[in-house]
Amino acid sequence: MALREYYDKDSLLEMKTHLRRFRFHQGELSQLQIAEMVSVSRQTIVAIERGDYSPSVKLALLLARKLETTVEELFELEESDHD
Amino acid sequence: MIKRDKIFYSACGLSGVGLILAFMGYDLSLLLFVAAYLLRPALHEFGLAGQYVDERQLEIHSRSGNLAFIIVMLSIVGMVFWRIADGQSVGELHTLIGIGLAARALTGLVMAGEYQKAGVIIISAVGLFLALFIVLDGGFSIVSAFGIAIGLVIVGFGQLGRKFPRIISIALAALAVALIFFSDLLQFRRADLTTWMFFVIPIVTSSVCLFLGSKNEEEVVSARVRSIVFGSLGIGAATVFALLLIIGSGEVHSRGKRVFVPEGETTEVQGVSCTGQIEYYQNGNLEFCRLAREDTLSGQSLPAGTGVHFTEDGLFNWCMLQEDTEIQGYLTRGEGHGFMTEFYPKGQVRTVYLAEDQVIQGIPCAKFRFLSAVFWPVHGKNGGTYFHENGQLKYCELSEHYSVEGQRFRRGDAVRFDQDGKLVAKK
Repeated sequence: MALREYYDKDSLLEMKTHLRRFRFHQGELSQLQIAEMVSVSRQTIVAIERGDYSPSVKLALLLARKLETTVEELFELEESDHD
Repeated sequence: MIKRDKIFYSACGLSGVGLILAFMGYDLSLLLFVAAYLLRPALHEFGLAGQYVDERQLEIHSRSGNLAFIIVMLSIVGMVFWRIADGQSVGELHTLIGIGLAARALTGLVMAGEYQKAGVIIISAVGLFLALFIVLDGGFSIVSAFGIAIGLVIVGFGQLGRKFPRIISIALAALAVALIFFSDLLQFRRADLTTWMFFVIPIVTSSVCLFLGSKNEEEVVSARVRSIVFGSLGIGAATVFALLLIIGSGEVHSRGKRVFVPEGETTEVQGVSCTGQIEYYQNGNLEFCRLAREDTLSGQSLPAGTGVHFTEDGLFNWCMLQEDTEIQGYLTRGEGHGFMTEFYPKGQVRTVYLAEDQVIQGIPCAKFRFLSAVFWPVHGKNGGTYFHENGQLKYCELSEHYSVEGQRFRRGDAVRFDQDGKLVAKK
């Protein structure tokens, strides 16, 4: 279940991640490899890529550093209208 | 899915020892299985898991822990209603609910990080709890007024902790030590569980919180200090609980062998139908077991499940009833708190803990009141009712104001009689 927050009564925020794309850009790193680089379990990386889990700021910064990018490139918030 | 690390192998070790103990018939095995299952989240909460738990696992532990707590609490409440409907007593279940809610409140306050505030709230709650339950348990009397006053003094201490956190912290630490020694808590009797869980541990926690929170606002307690201090508190509480389970459960100290008979099965031992754990003296005589069926010992009919104890010579001398039971005309407390109903060698009852106020030989004797008994080191009254071997009432605590042989006594006073029924002393 993706993280959703009600930004205001008419819209919904969803977090999207580009972690998989950056993993492949960095020499096709596996989920296990990136998990070991940031000291979390592979299941945590799986959950982040599926949008089921929002990493802490610390973990997000670590991932960005290891993948040689920024947190804003790795993760973004998308607004969608809530009916 | 299962992470094989040091914590995993430690948990396997605990489970392995538990299996061996289970095979040998020791109930302690259950504790080890539970400890193995909760090892990882417990180590993390005390700051000892380090790299062995990642943040998502923590969140899952936290959320599943919340859900599990709700389910367990609702289950216990359900069991309370079922047992009440069956006419059974529910004292131990109330204690479990109290421990669960108190533990959650206490840990939540500490985790919020405002230690001084937490310390004040915890100790004020202890005082209010004490005063409230004394009133609910025994109404108003000199003994309960004394207890209520102590409760209110403790609340006052809590409020003073806002202004003088260090001084109150030291005072509370001294109070905890005094409580431990004056109440002889280091014997870890089963009956001491409530005193430890609802008074000593919260008082110590409050003392620690006030001490940590006594620094000025700009000084923050470091994570390392927090981990050490609260980790030690947690380990201390767990150790106390384990000692209460081990020593309290083994209050019948068998000096001989122990044999375990599975529930539902019966074995006849020296004319007694026993089940569960059976303990023997070194001379081979039966020391203790639980009755597999209703049985009569020394002329006293006892229900199935009663724990019965014998002297080394084979004389039946006390029992632990599973529920309130009429013994020789006295409704006697059973189940929680390990009430020992004692008998003389020829079978007359020696000691009972009354389940309700009862007029005995014209004297209005009070039922056992737990919170009054907590203060027995202060006032010398433990809530029991005692008899001489000839059946004459020897001692009881009054359930109402009463005059005996022209002397006036107040509710809660203890009265003593000799073997001929004459008043011995006024208390």
